[in-house]
Order: sequence, then C-alpha cells, then structure tokens
Amino acid sequence: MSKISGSQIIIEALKCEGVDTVFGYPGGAVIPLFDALYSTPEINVVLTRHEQGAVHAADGYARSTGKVGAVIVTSGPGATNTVTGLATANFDSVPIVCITGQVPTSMIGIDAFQEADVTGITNAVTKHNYLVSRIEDLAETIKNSFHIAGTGRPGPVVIDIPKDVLLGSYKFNYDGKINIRGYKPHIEGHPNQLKKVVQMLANAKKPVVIVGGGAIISDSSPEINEFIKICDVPVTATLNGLGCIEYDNPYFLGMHGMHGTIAANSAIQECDLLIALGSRFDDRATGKLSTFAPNAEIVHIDIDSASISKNVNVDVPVVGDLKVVMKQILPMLSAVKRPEWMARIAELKKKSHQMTRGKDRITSIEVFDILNKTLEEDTIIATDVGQHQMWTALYYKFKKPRTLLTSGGLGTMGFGFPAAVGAQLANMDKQVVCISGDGSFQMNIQELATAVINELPIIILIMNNGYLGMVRQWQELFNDERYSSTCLMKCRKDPSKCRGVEEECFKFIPDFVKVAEAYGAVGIRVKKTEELESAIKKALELKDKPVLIDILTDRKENVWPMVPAGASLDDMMKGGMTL
Amino acid sequence: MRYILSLIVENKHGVLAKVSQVITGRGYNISTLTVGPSEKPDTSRMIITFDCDDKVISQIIKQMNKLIDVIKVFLIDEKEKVERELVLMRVHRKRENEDSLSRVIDIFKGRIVNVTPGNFVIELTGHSGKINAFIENIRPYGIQDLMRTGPLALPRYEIK
Ligand SMILES: Cc1ncc(C[n+]2csc(CCOP(=O)(O)OP(=O)(O)O)c2C)c(N)n1
Ligand SMILES: [Mg+2]
Repeated sequence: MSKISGSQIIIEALKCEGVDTVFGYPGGAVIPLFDALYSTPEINVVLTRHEQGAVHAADGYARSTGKVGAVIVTSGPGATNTVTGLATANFDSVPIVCITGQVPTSMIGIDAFQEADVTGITNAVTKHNYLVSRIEDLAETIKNSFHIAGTGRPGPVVIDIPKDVLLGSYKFNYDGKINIRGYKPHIEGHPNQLKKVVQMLANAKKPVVIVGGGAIISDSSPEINEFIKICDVPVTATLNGLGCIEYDNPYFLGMHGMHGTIAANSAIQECDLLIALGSRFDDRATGKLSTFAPNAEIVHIDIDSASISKNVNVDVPVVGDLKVVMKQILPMLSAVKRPEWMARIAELKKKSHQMTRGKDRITSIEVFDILNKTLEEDTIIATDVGQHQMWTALYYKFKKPRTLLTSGGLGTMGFGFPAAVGAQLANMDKQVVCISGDGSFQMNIQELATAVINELPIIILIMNNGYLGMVRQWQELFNDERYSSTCLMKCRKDPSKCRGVEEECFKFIPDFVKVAEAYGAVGIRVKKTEELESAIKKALELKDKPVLIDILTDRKENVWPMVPAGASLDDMMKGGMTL
Repeated sequence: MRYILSLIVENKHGVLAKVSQVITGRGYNISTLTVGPSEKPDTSRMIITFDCDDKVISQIIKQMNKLIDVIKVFLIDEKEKVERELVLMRVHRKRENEDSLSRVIDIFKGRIVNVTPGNFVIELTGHSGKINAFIENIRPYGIQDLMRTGPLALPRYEIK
C-alpha cells in the first residue's frame, strides 16, 4: 500500500465518513490540511469569519440533519475560539468532530508560538478528545471520533493534530472494525423495566409525558406520537424537544418550565405518572425540585445513565436508545381512554397565553401570528438567547422535528445566526429563519459575510427592543427596575437616573439595516405590525442573499408566564397575561 | 461514608486529567487517589476514595462510566477486600523516648528504615484505619514530615 501525507489521510477519512461540508478557518498549523482541501472537490470548505461561528455552523448543520458536523481550525487562538461552540454542542448533545491544528510534537510544552493545551482546555466541554502524536494512529482516531460523536448520547469530539503529523506520510487504512473497549452505549431497554412502565401506565389516572432533546436526536417523533395516542396521554416538551409533537396536536401542552405554558406546568404538578423521554430534568425545566411533580411516580427513558436520578429521583429508569425502546414498548401497550384527565387538560389548555396587543410598537404575539401564517411548516428556525427565544418557544407553531435550532443547555447568545448558516448549507431546499435579539445578533454579526458570500437566503429577524431584554426583565421584576448595563441605546453612568429613552439617546447602534447593506445583504426596517408581513413576503422571494429585518418591538414587553429561578412550578407569575 | 472506587483505564495520554476533571468539575472531593500499572501493559488501575453519600457516589460511578478511556468501574466492597496503604514519616530522635518509640513501632509492626543522629524514618503498611492509629501514636514524638500513598485495594474474588 502506498503512503500518503497525514493531511491526505484526514481528507480520505472525511470522505469515508461522508463529510460534504467542513466549516473552518486556516492558520499556520493547518496550512498543509487546507492545502489538501484545496484539491478536494467533494468537500465544500466554508470559511466562516470566526472560529466560534464555524463550530456553531457545524452545530446547525448537525442539528438540522442528524449528521456529524465537521470543523477544522488552527492551533492556539483558533482552537481556544472554539470553546464556546463546543460547550454549546456538548450541553445539547450535538455530534461534531473538530480538528484543531497543533504545534509540531517536538515543540509541545515549550510555549511555542500559538501553542495551547487543547485537550486540557476542552476536556470539560467535549464528549471526548484526542491528541494524535503518531501518524500511525491518525486514521483510526478519526474513525473512532466520528463513531463517538454520532452514537450513544452524541457530542463533540476534538482531534488535536500536530503539524508534523500532517506532514508525515503513512499508508491509509480505514477498514478496521471499531472497537473502543471503554465505550459501549446501551441500546435496548431492559424488558423487565418496560413491563413495569406498561403496568404503571395501566394504573395511572393522570399521566403526562415529557419529550426532551433526546426525542429529536433519536428521530423518535413517529413512535412517540403513536405512543401518546395509544395511551391517551398529554405531552409537554422541553425547549429542545419542541417539534417532536405538532403544536396543534390536542395532546400537546406546549413547553414546560421557567417560561412554560400554564397548561404544561399545571399538568406536571397535577399528574400521577410522569414519563420523561430523552430529557435530563434541567433546573430551568423543573423549577424547585422538592415540589416538582409532587404526586407523580417518575419513569425516565434515556440513553445516558448519568442523567438518570441526577436531579430528580426516578422510580423506574430505562437506559437505552429512545427510538429502539419506543419500538420495544409499542407492541406491549393496550389502548386506553382517559376522558376525565383529557377534559381537565382541555380546560388547562384554554388558559392559554393570550397577550395584549401593543399600541405603539410591535409585540411578540403579533410577530409570531404573522410568522405562523407566512412560513412553511418545514422552515428551520434558529434562535439566539433571550426573550425572543422564549417567545419563539411559546408562540411559534413548530410542526416537525429538527425545525428548531436553539442553545438550550448553555444558553449561548450568538449561537443562532451561525447555526442558521450551517443549517441553510445543509438544507438548500428549505427556508431558514434566524430569530435573534439586538444583543445576541451582535455576538456573531460577522457571519453576515459568510452568508452573503455563500448566497444563503436566510431571513434574519431581529426583535429589536434596545435592551438585553431577558436580563432587563429580571431587573424589572427582582432588582427594583435598576437597569444596570442592559440598555443598548445609551448607557448612563448612573442608570438609576435614566428616565427612559430621551432625545439624546442613540436610536440605532448599530443601524442593523445599514450593517446588512454594508455586507451586501438586504436590510429592511419594520416599525409597524402592518409592515412586517410584506417585509417577510419580500424576503421569502429573494433566493440568493440574506435578508435582515430589523423589527422595532415593544421595549419593555416581558415573557409570561414566568416561574422565578428556584421557585416551584406552582408559582407562575402571569404578569400581563389576559386569561 | 468512605467509598473505595476502582477504575481500570486506558494507559494513554491525558487519562488522569480527564478522570480528575470530571470529578472536580462537578464539585466532588477526592480523598485519595492512587494510580499505577495493572496486570496488563496497556491499562492502568486507579483507586480513588471519596467521603460522600450514596447519591454522590452513584453519580460519580455513572460519570466515570461515561468516560471513553475508562474501561471498568466498580466499588470495592468493604467486607470483601484486601486493602493496603503505606506511610512514611520522619520523626525527631530524642534519647529520652527512643525506647518507647521503638515499642510503639513494634506493636504496629512498623519499621525504622533510616536513622540519622537527629531523626528516624519510619514505614508502615496496613489498611488505612491502622495507619491512622499508628500516626496518632507517633504524633507525640514529633513528626517532621509525613507522606501516605492512599490505599490500594483489590477485591478478594474476581469481579465479573
Ligand atoms: C454569551 C452570553 N452572555 C450573556 C448571556 C446572559 N443573557 C441571557 S439573555 C441576555 C439578553 C439577550 O438580549 P437580546 O439578544 O437583545 O435578546 P432579548 O432578550 O432582548 O430578546 C443575556 C445578556 C448569555 N446568555 N450568553
Ligand atoms: Mg434585545
């Protein structure tokens, strides 16, 4: 077998893994690898404008398709810039393989130029990482990395490759069988546990199902929909579980948790059996643990045994791949009807979250009424983090899995737009919409260049309230309206003397419309609700460039309902809701 | 309560960092940690002891199992184990209590392994409880330096 370079081994391995797109940013340590990519037409190399953007883009690519996203960055600062992206993906179980350049093996440890201890730095934010110090191990390491990233509870894997390994030469062999003795994910649920679950379902009067991100990742939406129909059981989603159940499905209660719906939170508190499917009982979802679902026995089905009984004490754990477990359990079920409980659910659902409409500026519900009317059901929505994210979760009518890309666990501002870029590249047949905030968008605004250059018809909706709105909401409710460092229009030295927006305050810093135009995208400003629909329709027609719509929204609208941090799901603040 | 956790891990770059990262990153405290070669050249054995409750130890076990480079994790049963720890102490040598010091060392079956005009170096192996008792008995003689290995432990039977 003839020998090829380390860089070429990587390219061949990526091809074997079916990688068609790599998000990356070059630098000294990876010049040989980018050189090899230069003559690889099978792989589209997307140059983002920041390494964080590259990882989020690979994340959006992966979340929207289920495939493993691929990233290549240089050593030192290139690698450290990926940390937030990796942590975001790790928290939400997104499969990514991130190759980082490293200084030559002979220089590791001497504080060489652009040296960083990448495996040390990324230990806490990856599923696994490798330093490849021998070219003999390169192909096998890449193969194992893709396997680890994409199976079990997925997650990011970093491969740190010194430059001399890229430049070395060795034979390429990718036929070996994967055998990682410390990594054998549980796939099938234990039959005895499943029997218990079936029995509990038969005895329960008021069961509720929670679907989490695991339901989306494992593609179990069809099985779960069948399950809830047979068992006549209402279902609520976590933020990352949205899309598993269609919004209009009568069994669907909406999201639960801190900004959950009244129906979802109340149903959890009233239920006598709670079945969590691929959800890890995040504190934002459970509120105060000691009063969470106080009357319920809890079943938890998850691929990650470490998620079981970590926060909530589980009565019946089932470790396995959710789709496989669902397929095991479906034939064991017998159909039931629970008319009383479903009547109670219908009653709870009537207490929906109707908001008052705005007078001067646009309110959230008005934006989402229009989006629900104008967007196709396979539209992919990427969000940033803040109020706009929670309104998306509450009001946008998700109909399909993998149509919401949002940073749930880490809550990373700046995730949405680069994720939209990655998702659009993977789904050129679908519309991608990024719903962002005026604060968040500025955290990866530079990716406008990537979107324009790649002619991506992403629609960017900025819900522009001139505030770091979510933090401002907390300050209003819990810090005596002391808006310390949250106004984006003008920061007074003494915020307590701020009397709201005045003449001297800057109106548009930055002017997002002009920013869009400066990058070669289209920018539209929307000041009135009536203008929004036509702006979106116009944007939908443009097929070769991004359109940024700067929506001037009500500056001080709050997200309701809200369970204060650390409070019980029973204690929902309902603020301006008209019930 | 004290738990003795036994890990078989890959004998590879960065494994100790990964294991300790997960434990400290989640806010758990390691009491002792001992690493060394195992019966196979490509694996190492770690014994980590914790003072915690059963909920915490079960989380730790699950988190250790999640690590790719950790091949096997098990708790060592206190009743079915052989445990040994080694302690070295350098102690002041004073004429007036040399005899009584020797007697204490004999009782515990310890050994003086080095002597200078000013001090002794003493060694003892045994389970951790015995080491604790020994140290307490030596303390009045004036310990200059002390180093313990932390326990090594093996189950008495093969763990499948
Ligand atoms: C990287 C990062 N820094 C800080 C925060 C804390 N944070 C959460 S929401 C938020 C405000 C977001 O403002 P904006 O994007 O304008 O959204 P809005 O809430 O106004 O809709 C902040 C600062 C965060 N989540 N991520
Ligand atoms: Mg804002």
